[in-house]
Amino acid sequence: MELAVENNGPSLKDESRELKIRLRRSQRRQKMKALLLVAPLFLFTLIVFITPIALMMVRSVESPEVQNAFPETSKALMQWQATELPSVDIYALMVQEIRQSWADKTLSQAAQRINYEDPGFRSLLTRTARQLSRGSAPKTAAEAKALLIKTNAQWGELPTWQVIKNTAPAYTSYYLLTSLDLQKNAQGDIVAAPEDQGIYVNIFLRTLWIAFVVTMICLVLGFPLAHLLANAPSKYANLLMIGVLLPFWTSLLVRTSAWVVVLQKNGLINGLLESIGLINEPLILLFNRPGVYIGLVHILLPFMVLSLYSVMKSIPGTYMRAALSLGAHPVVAFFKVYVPQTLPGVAAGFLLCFIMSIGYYITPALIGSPQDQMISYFIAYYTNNVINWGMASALGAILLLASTLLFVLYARLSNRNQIKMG
Amino acid sequence: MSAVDPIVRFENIQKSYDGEVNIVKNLNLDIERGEFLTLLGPSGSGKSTCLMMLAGFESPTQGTIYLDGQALNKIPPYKRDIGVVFQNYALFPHMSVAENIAFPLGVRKVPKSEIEQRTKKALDMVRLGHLADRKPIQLSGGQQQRIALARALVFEPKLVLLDEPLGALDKNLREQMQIELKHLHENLGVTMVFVTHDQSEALTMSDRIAVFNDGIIQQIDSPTALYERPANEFVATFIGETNVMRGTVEQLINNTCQLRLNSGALIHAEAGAGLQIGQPACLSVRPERIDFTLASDAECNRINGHLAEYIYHGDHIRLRLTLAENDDFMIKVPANHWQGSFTPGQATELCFRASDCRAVPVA
Repeated sequence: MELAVENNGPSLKDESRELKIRLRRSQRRQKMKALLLVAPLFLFTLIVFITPIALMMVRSVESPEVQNAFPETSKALMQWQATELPSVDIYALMVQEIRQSWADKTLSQAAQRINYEDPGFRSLLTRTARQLSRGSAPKTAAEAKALLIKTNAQWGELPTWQVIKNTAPAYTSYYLLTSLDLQKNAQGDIVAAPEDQGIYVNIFLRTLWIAFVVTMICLVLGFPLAHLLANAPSKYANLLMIGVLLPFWTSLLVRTSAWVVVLQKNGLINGLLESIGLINEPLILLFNRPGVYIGLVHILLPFMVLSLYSVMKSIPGTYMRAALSLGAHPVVAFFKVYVPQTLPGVAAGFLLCFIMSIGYYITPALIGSPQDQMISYFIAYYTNNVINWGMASALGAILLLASTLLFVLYARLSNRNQIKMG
Repeated sequence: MSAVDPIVRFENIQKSYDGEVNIVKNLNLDIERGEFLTLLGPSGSGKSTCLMMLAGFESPTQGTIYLDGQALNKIPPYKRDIGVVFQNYALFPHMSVAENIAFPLGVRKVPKSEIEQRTKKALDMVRLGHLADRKPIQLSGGQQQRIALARALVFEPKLVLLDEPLGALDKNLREQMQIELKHLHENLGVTMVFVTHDQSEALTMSDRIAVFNDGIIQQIDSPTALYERPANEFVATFIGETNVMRGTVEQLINNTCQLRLNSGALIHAEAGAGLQIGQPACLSVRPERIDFTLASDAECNRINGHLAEYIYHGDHIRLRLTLAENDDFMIKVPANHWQGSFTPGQATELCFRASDCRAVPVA
């Protein structure tokens, strides 16, 4: 008997090893299948979502324009100490590369880039380039320096060269700092921007505040509706649900424009309120903050309602009954037993609405005043109107960062809740 | 049926959900102080509706329910002081076990130290003191059940209602909980009203059982009385297992009668209430009351049949027979009493005493 066991030993081991290999093989096939199934969506997301976002993030720190126009000068200036005027060789390089880039038509981009940091630089460079290109090239370096200073005295001043040096590196923190109302002073320290230039922090705060107010209104309006939807007989609940979903089937632009019609001075709301005698003169509901709140709440409410509904639907009615039978007043039972169980839905709905509204563009753009524009308006402005992709990207990156932070916070909170509950 | 001082009285209660059909039809029921009453019936028979009306989650369409002599119709559920244990326990998932049990005391503004002490006592009562800080989801089904019980008892209600509380447990645990619940009732002396569709559960635990069907209480009696002396065909077939044969009443003397079966055999049987000579009746014979050793007894009833099937159950054996009246006639024989051989189609004579069968009105 013992002998038999000993004989069986190795073969058993072999068998189990073989089993493991077979198991792994069969699992590998399953894994491959799973990978193949997610591959189309993964590639799609990668190409149209992740890559553009990554490129945008890069744009917020990239600054290739000056190097493109003045490759040699940039290199030389980055070695330069910036304590006194650069050497004549650098003057010579500068003259040569201004003439070259003027011919190549790369000068204007560099001029615009430097102009962001020092307004007026574009005209200096353009005028200089035009004059230089008319004459012949200087013979010696000293001649080049004299020529440049002759075209404009600014070339003989230290700050002019410091600005070019600052914009010379391929990567810059300028856009991100500007987005946060910061700048680098001549010594390279980060300091607050002058008050007349620092507008973005206020706009970020305004964006967050509008998003918060909109989300709170959605929550207050959506909670009772979601509760009704989750507890009404299915016959009525289906009808109500269609009502909630209806806005999704209408174009966003149409809905927003409709609000202009409804909210204007002689619009539906004012007409109705006046005819029943509630007000004597029309309320101003358009192109101001209340208008933006109304428009955004209308668009985001379904997201809040659906988030709450999905959680409320899963709370059986027996909890409330149990609380009542244990002697709790319906109001107490509602707040102590029902509401705590809806918190995951409240958090999900809050986060969804908040994140969606901090990035909203169309509604505030169409029915808000200049004082109601959110950060997305400025991103669009920099993208479409002044073609400053660096600023657009930097503002976008900070918005993305804020959203991500919020999401991480939410994930942390919900995780902790799960542990508490689980 | 009317007790001297009932704790609960249902008076002419009717309940309809759709305005067309009464799910509860003219119910009159007294629940005695300290008893364990089970409402038993198939689903849709109105038993749960009665419980929900008593708890206050449904209101009767007509009639009045009294608790301790006070009409309940206008009193909301949270003022009734009735503990309810639900089928899915309804323990609040966001509160710990101790917080769940403290909940009814907290909403009653009981002082904090007393809450702590009573919560601990209630937990010890169901022997789960060590689980006070757990969340309900971390407990097994049986433990959740006990916590739900402790929570329904901790505020010392006048009455505890249990709505199929053992339905979700597996068989062994259910039987264990039945005994535990029964002991708890005996120790505390609180009135309990228990709803179930499981007749064996009802027989095990109850002082009295009210059998519901079709919105009407068919019979309300002790478990023994229900099993031994069912009032009608529904009760006879619903409680325990029985064989039914139909016939006509020929003679009726006190508590006994003679019944002519449709096949022509004449049977002596105990008579239930409501039989009339010349009217159809239903004869109920329990499978375990057929005795093969009675063949020589001249007094007993005899019917001819054929063996159809032999089913082995370990401790007992079941035989299925085909009779002229009933081709699904079951007999239960303890395994150690079975000596015969089994051949399908074999002709057999069945014997049973007049005292072991009962004629009741047709349902």
